[in-house]
Formats: sequence, structure tokens, C-alpha cells
Amino acid sequence: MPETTPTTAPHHAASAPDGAPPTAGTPEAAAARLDAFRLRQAPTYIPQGEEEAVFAAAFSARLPVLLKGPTGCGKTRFVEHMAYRLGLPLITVACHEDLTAADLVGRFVFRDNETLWQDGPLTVAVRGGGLCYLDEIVEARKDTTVVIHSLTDDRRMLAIDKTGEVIQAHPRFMVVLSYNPGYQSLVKDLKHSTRQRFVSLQFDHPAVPVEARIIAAEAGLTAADSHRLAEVGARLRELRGFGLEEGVSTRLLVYAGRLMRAGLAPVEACRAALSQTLTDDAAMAETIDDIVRLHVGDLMDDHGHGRADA
Amino acid sequence: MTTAMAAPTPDHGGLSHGFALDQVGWAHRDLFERAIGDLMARGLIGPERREVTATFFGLLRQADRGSWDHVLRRFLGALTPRNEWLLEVPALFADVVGLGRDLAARRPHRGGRFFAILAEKGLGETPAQVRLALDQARRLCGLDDDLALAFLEGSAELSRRLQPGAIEAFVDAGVAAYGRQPQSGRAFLEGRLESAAALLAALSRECRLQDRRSALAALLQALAGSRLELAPRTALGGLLLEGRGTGSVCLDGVLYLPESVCRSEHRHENRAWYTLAVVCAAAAWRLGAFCRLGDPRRGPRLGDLAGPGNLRLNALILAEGSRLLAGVRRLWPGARGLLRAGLAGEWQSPAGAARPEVLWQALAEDDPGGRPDGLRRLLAATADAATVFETAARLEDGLIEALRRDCPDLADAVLPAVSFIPDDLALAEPAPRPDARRSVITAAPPRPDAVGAGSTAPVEAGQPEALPAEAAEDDDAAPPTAFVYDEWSQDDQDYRRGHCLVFESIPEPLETAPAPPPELAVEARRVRAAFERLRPEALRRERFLCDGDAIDHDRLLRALVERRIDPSPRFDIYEKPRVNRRDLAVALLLDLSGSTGEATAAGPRRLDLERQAAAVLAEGLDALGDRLLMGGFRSRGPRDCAFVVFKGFDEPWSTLTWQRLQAVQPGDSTRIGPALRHAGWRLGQTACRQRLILMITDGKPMDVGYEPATHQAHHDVRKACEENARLGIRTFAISTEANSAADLEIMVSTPRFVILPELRDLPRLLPRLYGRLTL
Repeated sequence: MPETTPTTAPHHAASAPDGAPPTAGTPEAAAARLDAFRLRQAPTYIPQGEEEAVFAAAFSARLPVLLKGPTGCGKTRFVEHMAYRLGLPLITVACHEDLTAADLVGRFVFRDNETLWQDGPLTVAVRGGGLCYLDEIVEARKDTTVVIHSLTDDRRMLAIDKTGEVIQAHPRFMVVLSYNPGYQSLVKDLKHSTRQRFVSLQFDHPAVPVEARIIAAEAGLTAADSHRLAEVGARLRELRGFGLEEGVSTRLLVYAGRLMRAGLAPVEACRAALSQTLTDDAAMAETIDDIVRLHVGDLMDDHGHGRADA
Repeated sequence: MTTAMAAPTPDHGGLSHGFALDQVGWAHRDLFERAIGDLMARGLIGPERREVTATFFGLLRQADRGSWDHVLRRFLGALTPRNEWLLEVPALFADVVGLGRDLAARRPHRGGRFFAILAEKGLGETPAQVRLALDQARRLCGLDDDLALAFLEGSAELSRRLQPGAIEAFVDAGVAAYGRQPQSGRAFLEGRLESAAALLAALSRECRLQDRRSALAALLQALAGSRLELAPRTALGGLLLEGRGTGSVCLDGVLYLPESVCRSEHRHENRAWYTLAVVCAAAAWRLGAFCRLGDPRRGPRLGDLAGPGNLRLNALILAEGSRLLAGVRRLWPGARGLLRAGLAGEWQSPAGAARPEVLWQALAEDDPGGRPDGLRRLLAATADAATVFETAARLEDGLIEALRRDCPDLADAVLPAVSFIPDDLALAEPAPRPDARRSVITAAPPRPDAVGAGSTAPVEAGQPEALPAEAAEDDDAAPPTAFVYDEWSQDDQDYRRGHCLVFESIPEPLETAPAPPPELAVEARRVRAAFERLRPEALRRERFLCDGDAIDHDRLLRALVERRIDPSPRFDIYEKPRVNRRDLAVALLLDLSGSTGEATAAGPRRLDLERQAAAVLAEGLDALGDRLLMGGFRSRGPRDCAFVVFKGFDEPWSTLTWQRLQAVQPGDSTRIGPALRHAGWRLGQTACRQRLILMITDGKPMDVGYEPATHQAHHDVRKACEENARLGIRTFAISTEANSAADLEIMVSTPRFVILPELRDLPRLLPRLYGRLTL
């Protein structure tokens, strides 16, 4: 099953001797179920450009959106932000290679001596209106992702072969995909037949001042400390492809900030959240530690005591 | 008793590997029996550890050479608890035993001494230390076995005190001493000479660039924010900067640092010097200091910017030095302490004391009031300059006159350098860049379809320098396409950029090629049939699940019935489709070097056996549906590496591909790294989930530029495998006994290789091996 919370409630499958589609619940009932997926609090999000305007325009034009960007650069947070701003329920599916079409659309379950149809996360959003966010879509098998094709063009409909239903998407339904093009793997690339159905937004790690504001907001650090951490992040991203496969994510910088906020010394916090997380290579970890000390510590702490000579 | 002696371990049938106690002199039999029994009882040898046991008894079999009893007794004595861990690393153990056996084969007493050293002092505490000791000992054996033993006497101590690079330097010094006087060389390596102790002390506090190079290069990249290279200062040739106290030079995007630093009594301070030099160079780069301008031979010199006279030049040096260090402190507050310590170290050095005080006053973090007024005004006027040009533009005559008034000595001579600040002055004509031609190659337009942007991503060189002669002579022929790859240098701990050119070609089919021999056709049919049976279903249903996509109605019915008779029935009524598509691409690489032209014991040449094996495998893969690239490699130096394609991924296995396979003849040398990188690149173009390189080689990597005494080529192969692994490509090597297990452990690591005693079996074994790897 895909990871969605809270779980979708099952429908009673209609005994339909005449072959009519089983009852799938009224739109009102679907909307009530979807209410559980609404965000109650506004997520912290600091815009980096025109992404909010593009997303809002895509929603009003009923166009699906594709978010591209490296790990931890804020794609998911942006979707949460927009779902809250547009007043939409948000159903997130973390894609993986065992994800099947049934995991998205739904399946029959047997309960209380009855066969019941249970909508999958995609169907729930299609029926009641909402934002269905397929996170890291390239992790899913290509034959699974084609299920969204009919929802992402002018038809905006979902055919469920097991129930014989054809559902016209709710006017407030929207599909959002995310993926990280940095994998540089042909296996993990998005098919053009899928890609060319979407409006695309490119995300990247925020600039230092923006990232400092994010760290300050998320970790509760002072502006000066947040700025130093953001500087560390900017420097570490220079090592991408030069020993690090991925640049450090904003998420990890926030973790480091939270550890600092919890009372850990900055260098120790960054060692736990950054150098030891980003690499297993001792020389690279040493470099990251040096960069951290240059910004939030003292290089003499290492060199002055000859720790590395041990 | 006699039976026990004849077969020391009757209950371990076959484990004695041809050894019997009666091969040993009677005086030693009890000792041998006890030692062997003890090792077996402790599980160090035995049926669970076949490789080690084979190595162990392989040496003991020498017992029938009477003079070896002493050697073997020493060998058994060396397997002390301290050395037991060696038996956990079979290939390393085999290398240790192999060296002892080789020494004993030449002079038995040397073998005895070797094992005595192993027993008393050990060769090191980690596999890397032992391997280094063995490598150096083998190198020294080329000169004199006793010299090698002298080195081994002290190798454990050297491993404890020195880094690998320093050990090599120590051995080099020993070899030099041996060249002057053999006895001195042996005494030196044993550590009995004062000069050896002094060198050991110097090396142990010395920090070497090669030991820190990768970490410093990464730090430089991160802080400077652009691609700056790091190189030893010796690469500049005979640049005349010694008199200025220059430590670091930044020219044309390359930071040149000394190969070693031994400024302080403490190694960590010498180590810190490198860090400080890199930090200052990165700041200079970011702040638009003079070194950013590039090669001063082609552009303006600092003196040109400052204007005429020493005073103006020194004013610019002071202003820029102050601006640079202020920038370091502002950008990276964590460097302040290190900078303070670095300046103090320079100031207190004998050379520092001779330098004008105004230099230290300008570079100090704060001004306690000691700065002359002229200097204070100069620094205030230039502190917020954005680049060296702006600093130079602010040197107004009034400031210069004030400086002349307060610091008249500045007009006498150009200020000396501070070692860790990049010396921007090109006071001497710098030698050309060490690898100027590299820029010719990498400046060529990149391939439009080149994948990745990693350091080893291939680029097509439009006009590579090292074209084959026949191609270069033919004016009408288009220049052959070359793929440019880096090569790893273990000595430098860095890549040699664009060092290898790989030329890919497809051979003309040999139309007169004979049909495959009948026995080969039989084997191919058999393999094909076997692989066809193994071909997986494209889609199968996974049933009996507690959660799934659909309900299995038969199971549901059964579960409902069972529920009436079983209080806790299984409710596994769901099923789920599973796509079980085989999605694999493989590149089969054949060694085409000259040695494959040699005949095997069975008759056919090695290359012929490789061809037969490749043909059988190709038949099988055709049935299995896996995508196969069949290629071969050979080389004539790094600039002429051939990659011959017999069958592309999208071609069927056919008569044409068989004729291409028959068309090549063995020749040239073996440079494996570029071939692996190129195969990795080709595999990277396929959209398969699983990707594999199968490499068949009949010998050690050996080509122009490889030092036979080192493992440089092996380390490059390992790097190539690691680069491919990062792309999800696995490498498996099949080798003859020309490569030892230790060689292959360096190249591809355990368990991704096999060593075949007989290549004759290759056509039969290759498909089985492939099946084991992928099915």
C-alpha cells in the first residue's frame, strides 16, 4: 500500500447484477472523507520566485504540475503550502518500485462477510477534489504511472476497470508529481509521454539569504547563526560531483539548526547532521568538518590539538 | 603412530593437500603434528577455510625438500595469536606466504629469517600496512633479498610512525644509501644509522601534500566556489621564488603547494599550514585578488597595476594582503585562530624576524595603535575594494607620500612573501604549465550526447594529439573519434585529467572465418536451451497474500469454509501482479593484448578460447533476452587505447558478429582502466535497470607508463570499477593465474572475480558463471 495518511475508508461494493458500477459514495461523502487530509496549520514556506503564481495559475487552468529539483530543496513543503493556500486536501503518495496501479486507484477488500471496494488515494482525490501528490514518481514502475495519463489531459477522467466506473475528476482535483533529475540515470528518468502532460517548475536550493530565513523559521536559531549555517550549505553544495553525490539539503541544515537549538555545540551538531550523514568517506568528512569549523567553529579546535594525527 | 604421521589429519580427508608428516624430518614431526592439530582445533585452518588451508599446506608440501624443515618450523612458529588475523584475509595470507616461499626458494635461511621477523615483530597491524610492507619488500627483492629483509625488520615500526607516502620516501632513501654502499643501505633500512633515525623523525612530523591532497582539493573547491586545481609546487619547474619565502603560488586556476611541509616540530601544525594556504587561496579567488587574473606572462603584472617604483608596489602588496586576510576573517570566522597562529609562526621564524615590521602590522587582525599613520590611511582607503584593480586605483599620490614619510624603508626593496598567502608576484618567469596540452583536449567541444558531468565523463576530442600514425598521415580521412578519460594516479592521489584516449572501432568481418567448431556449436546449443528454460515469465501473479491488489476468489471460498472449522484460519485471499521482467545489459570485454596470442597447455591460443567462450555466452544471451555488448581492449600507451566492438547492444548475434570476432589478432599491451570506463559509459547509455561488465583478462595490467614494481595500474582499475559502481554498474573479472588473488582484490575486490587455473574451461564455465551472477 502506498503511504497515505489518514487511510481512505472503504465503500460498500454494490451488488450489481445488471453490471452497473458499484456505488462509490456520494460526492458529499467523498468530500467529508477528504476533510481528514486538510492541513490545519499553515506550513512555513518562503517563496523563491514566481512558483506560487505559476502553481495557482495551473490550478485555475486545471493543469497538472511537475516539480523538479534536488533532494530536500523544498518541493514537498511547497506542495503543502499551496494546498493550504488553495484550501485543498493534500493526499501524498510516496512512490516506490512495488507501487501498483491498484495502490493508486483502489481495490476490493473483504470485510464483515462482504466484498467492499476501497478507493485508492488517487480515486479519493478524483472524486472529492483535492491535490494528489505523487512524490518521487520515477521510483514507481513506468506501467504504474500511465494510470494518471487520462487525468492529466483534457479528459480529466479516471476509468476503474475493476468496478467498471468512469469518474470525471472533481473541478478542484489536481495532480502534482515530483522527481529529482539529479539521479543521472536513464532508469530513473520520466517518460516523455508522461512528462509532456505537465506544467513544470524547477526548484533548486535556495540562495543563502532565503535559506537563512528558512533555517531561522524552522529551527528557531538567531539570524546570524542561521546565516552561517546557510553559508555552510552553500559551500557544501560546491562539492556536488566532487566527492558528494548530492548537495546538502535544506532539510539537513534545519536538522543541524535544531540540534544547535537543543543545546549541542555547532560543530558537533553539524557533524551529526551533515558530515556523517552526507558521506562515509573519511577524507570527505574531514573536509566537511573543516568547512563547518570555518563558519561556525574554530579550525584551531582540530589543528591546534592535532586530533587528525591520532 | 606411523599412520598418524603419514596422514596428520586423517579425519580431514583431502585437507592435507598432498602433505604428509613423513615428508618432514623425524625430529620435527611431533612439532608439526602439534602445530597443525592446534591450528585445526582453533578453526584457523580446516574445511571451512579452504583457501587459507590450501595456502598453508601448499607451503608445507615443500617439506620434502629437506633443507626446508627449518623454514617451515619458523613458518609454523609465526602463526602466533598476534598474526592469526592474517588467516582471516586469504589473499593477504597467500601473499605473505608467497614472499616467504620465494625468499626461501632462493636461500632457505632467508625464508627462515622472513618468518622469524613475522613471528617476532609482525609486518603491520592492518591489511593495508602489511600489503604496503610486502609491496616494498618485493620491490627491494629486485635489488637484494637481504635489503628487503632489513626493511622488513623495521617495517612494523615504520607502519606505526609513518604515513604510506612517508614509508615510500624512507625506502627511497634506503635504496639511495644502498646504491652508495650496500651495507649502509641495509643498516639504514634496519634503522641502525643516525641518518635513518633523523629521517624518520623528520618524516613523522612532516606533512605531505599527497597525504592530504584529496581533502585539500575538496576544501578548495568548496570555498572558492569554482574549479581550482591543486598541484605540487615542483610542477612549476625551477621557478625562482625561494628567496622570497614563497610557499603557495596561484597561477592560471592552479594552486601550487609544496610537496611537504616541515616548518614546525609538530605535525599537526605542519598539517594546519596546508589548510591555511588553501583557505587563503580560496579567499583570494573569491575576492578578486591578483592571482585570479591568470598567468602574469600574458596579462598585467602586479607592478603594472601599482605603477612605477618599489614603494607603490609595496603599497599594493600591503593593501591587498590586508584586504585578503580581512576577507578570510569575515568570510570564515572559524579561520581567525588558525590565521593568528599562522602569522605568529611566520613572525617568530628566523626568516620572519628579518622582514619589515610594517608587513606584520598590515596583516594583523586589529590595530592596537602601533600602525604608522601612513599605513593606517592606506589600509583604510583600500579596505572595501572589490578587486585588485580597485585597490590599485585607490593608491593616490597622497597616500603614497604619507607611506613614504612614515615607512621610508618600503622604497628600498620589494616586500618578501608570507608563505601561506598565494604569492601573486611573478618575479621569475614561470615554467609552462605541466600539462598545458590537457587544455587542448578538454577545450574541444563536448559531445552533445555525453552523459554526466563527472570527472571521468568522456568527451570527444576533435583533434586528439596522439592519433595513430596511419590516420594522421591520411589527409582525406576524418580524424578518428577519441574518448577522453581521466586516469587515477595512486602516487598523486588524484586523477590525471584527460590522460587516456580511447579509440572505438568495429573490425571488418573476416569473411573467410571458419565456422565455429562442432563441439562449440554443441555447447552453444546446450547453453541456449538452458537459458531459454530460465527465461522468466514477463508477468506472474503473486498469490496467497494477506494484502494485495485483487481478491483470489478460490482462496476466498476456501478461507470462508476453513473459517467454519478452524478458529484461526489463514486469510491470505489476495493476489498481486508482479512484473518480473529481466532488465539487464552486459558488456563482455575480452583482453586482446599480445599475451593472448600465446598457446595454452591445451593447444588453442588464449584469444581463441576467449572467442569461443564469448560465442557460447552470446548464444545463451540471445535466448535469454539480455542485451549484450561484446568488445575487446588493448593499448599502446595511454594515448592510444583501442576499444573494439564486435557486437553492439542492439545487434543480434549472427554470422557477421562471429566474423568480426574472428577478425582481430592479439597485440599490444593491457590498460584496463580506460576500457572499463568506456564500457561503463556505453552501458550508461542503455535504459536497463541492471548493468554488468564481465571482463576476461589473461594478465596483469601493464602498459607504457606503469611502474612494474607498483600497483598503480591496479589502483586505476579499482577506481574505474568504483566510478562504474556509482552509476549502478557492477564489474566482474575473470582472470588467469597471472594475476594473484591479492592483485584482483585491489582491482575489483572480493568476491567479484574468479581465477581460472586453466583457460581451456572458459567456454564451459563462462555461461555458468553468468547464470550464477544474474539468474
